[in-house]
Amino acid sequence: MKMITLGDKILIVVVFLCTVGSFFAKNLLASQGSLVIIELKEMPVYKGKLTEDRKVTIKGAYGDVRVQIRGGNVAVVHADCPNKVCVRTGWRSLSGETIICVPNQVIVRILGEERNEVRGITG
Amino acid sequence: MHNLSPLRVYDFVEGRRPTRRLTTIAFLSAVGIALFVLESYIPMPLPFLKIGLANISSVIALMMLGTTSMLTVVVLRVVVGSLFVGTFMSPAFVLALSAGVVSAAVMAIVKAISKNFFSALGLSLIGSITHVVVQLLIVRFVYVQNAAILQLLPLLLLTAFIGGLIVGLISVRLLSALKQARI
Repeated sequence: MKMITLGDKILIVVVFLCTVGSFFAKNLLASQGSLVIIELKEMPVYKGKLTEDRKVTIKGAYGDVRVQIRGGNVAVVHADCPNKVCVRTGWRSLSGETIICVPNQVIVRILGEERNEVRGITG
Repeated sequence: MHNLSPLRVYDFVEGRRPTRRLTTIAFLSAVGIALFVLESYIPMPLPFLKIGLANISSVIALMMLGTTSMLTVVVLRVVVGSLFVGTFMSPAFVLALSAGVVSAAVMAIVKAISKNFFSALGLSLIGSITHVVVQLLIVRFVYVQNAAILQLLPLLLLTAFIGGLIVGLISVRLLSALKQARI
C-alpha cells in the first residue's frame, strides 16, 4: 500500500506512545480527594479529612466494617461479609472514588472540592 | 448542465457536477447509517467503547468530496442513525453529534494545512482521537462534574487508536479501489 505516507507512520507512533503513556499517567488525570464520608444505609455516619490517619469501625447491616485512613488513602481493611468486594477494592485516594460493601450497606466516598458534592445515590 | 441545478450552493462551494456530488453524499450517508446501526449490535464491555466503523463514510467523503460534504454526511448519519437506534436527543446523541462535528472539522483543518502529509489513515486516526477527547471533555464538564471520569481517558485512547487504525486502513483500501474503478 503506497498510499500510507510518512506522516501517517509518525502519527501512529506518536499516538501509540501517548496511549501507552496515558495508562501510566492515569493518576495525574484525576485530582486527589480531601474528604472521606462513610455512609451506612444511605445516612452519613462519619466525615473526616483524608489526611488524618485513623481507623473507623462501622456496625454494618451484616457485621463490622473496619475502615482505615492512612497517608491520604482509604481502604476497607476488614469486613464481615461473604464476598469481600470492598476489601479487594484496596486503597483509594482520588476524588469521586467509592468503596462499597453491599451486604453491610456501607459506602465509603472520597470527595474533592466543595462542588464535587454528592448529587444522588443510585441502587 | 450543472447551471440548471437548484444546487448552486454546492456547485459554488466545491466545484462542478452537483448531481453526482449529491448522489455520492446520499450514498455515503446511507452506508454510514447502515454501519452505525450495525455497530450498535456489536457487544462491548462498556457502552461508549466503539470502533467507529461509520467513520469510514465520513473519511471517504472528506477525501473524495471535501469538507462541506463530509459535514453533511456526519450530521445526517448521527441524526438518522440515532433515530434508528433509538438514542435521538439522548446524551449519547448529544455526545455523538458534538464530537462528530468537532472531529470532522479538525480532520478537515488538518487536511487543509498539511496538504498531503497525512493519508486517509492519518486523518482517520486524528478524527478518532479528537472524537473521544471531545466526548470525554463534554461528559466531564456537562454531565458528570467529577474529575474521576478522566481516568477513563487511557481506555478511550486505546479504543480510539485501534478503531482509528481499522477505519483508516479500510478507507485507504476503499479509496484506492474507487480510484482504480474511476468512480
